[in-house]
Amino acid sequence: MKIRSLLTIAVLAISFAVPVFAQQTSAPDPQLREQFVAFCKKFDEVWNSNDQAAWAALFTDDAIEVTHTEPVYGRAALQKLWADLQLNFSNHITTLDQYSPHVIDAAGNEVWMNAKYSLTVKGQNFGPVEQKGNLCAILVRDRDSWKMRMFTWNITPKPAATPSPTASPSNQ
Amino acid sequence: MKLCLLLAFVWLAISFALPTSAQQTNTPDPQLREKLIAAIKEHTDALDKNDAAAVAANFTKHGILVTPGGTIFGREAIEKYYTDVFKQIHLSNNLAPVDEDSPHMTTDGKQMWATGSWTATIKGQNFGPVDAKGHWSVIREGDDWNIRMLTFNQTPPPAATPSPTASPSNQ
Repeated sequence: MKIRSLLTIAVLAISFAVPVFAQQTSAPDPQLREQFVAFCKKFDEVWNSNDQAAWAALFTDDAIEVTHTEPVYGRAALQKLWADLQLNFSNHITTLDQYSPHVIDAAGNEVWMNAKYSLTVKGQNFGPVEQKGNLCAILVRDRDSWKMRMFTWNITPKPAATPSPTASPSNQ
Repeated sequence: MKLCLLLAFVWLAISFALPTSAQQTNTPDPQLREKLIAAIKEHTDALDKNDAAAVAANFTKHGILVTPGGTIFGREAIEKYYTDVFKQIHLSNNLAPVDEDSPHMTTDGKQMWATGSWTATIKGQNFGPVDAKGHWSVIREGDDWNIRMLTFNQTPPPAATPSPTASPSNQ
């Protein structure tokens, strides 16, 4: 069996073990939550517009994006990353989890949040394909808006394909 | 072309486009960094033992674990999650080095957050062992710097080169 298939099985084994949610007591402030529901909507609009500058503007100068291959440091590098990808995104939908945002500091100028996302991505030579996953972010207040200081995302693996009965041994 | 192959292209496109890291502006407090590294070692030791209760003990009561498959809320649910995981797979060789600019203190000094990478060996009942890796971010708080929220992702393996003997159904 190929390494890719093994890893897919491993991730699926972990992913499917996720139980129903439980045990969370802190309800977010309704007004603050409204701000973050609006932030997620703006986040989606920026993704769907494929406007790299607008996307980068959602981050602080010293932001960190934790991708699945390495952390990327700084707004400029983040914008370059998107530009270099040459991907077209659509149908981006972010759903804030019910307990987010969580206030970090007493003044309410730092928060963190969790959310689910789904999107469609098309490259120059592939797609469109659908992708979904989960994310977290730490955000800081910037006048009347919020900017991301740290952003981490993951990708929910697709179920492993059933091996074809006609598959050659080299593909098992 | 199969969907998983398409997704592999997406991952690879992202991977190859990543610039070399730059602009790390935070210089962490050395003592705080030591505490973080010690706390992470407790976590990875618990993972190596495949001890769900010990892994969950690294989280606060209301800790949150964000996995690729979903988000788990609360230490009790996290323990159940790992209990289920360890019935299906065995983890070993867990390492979770901290990025050089971590940890970062929040402005009120009550929480720290950090980023880093991870590697592990995974063995299932019918597969493996295989090596896996990825990245994480964490928010920690309290006297023991337990985990308030941990998010991890997994680096996809390189896309397989199509075999010249592959049947059309596998393309």
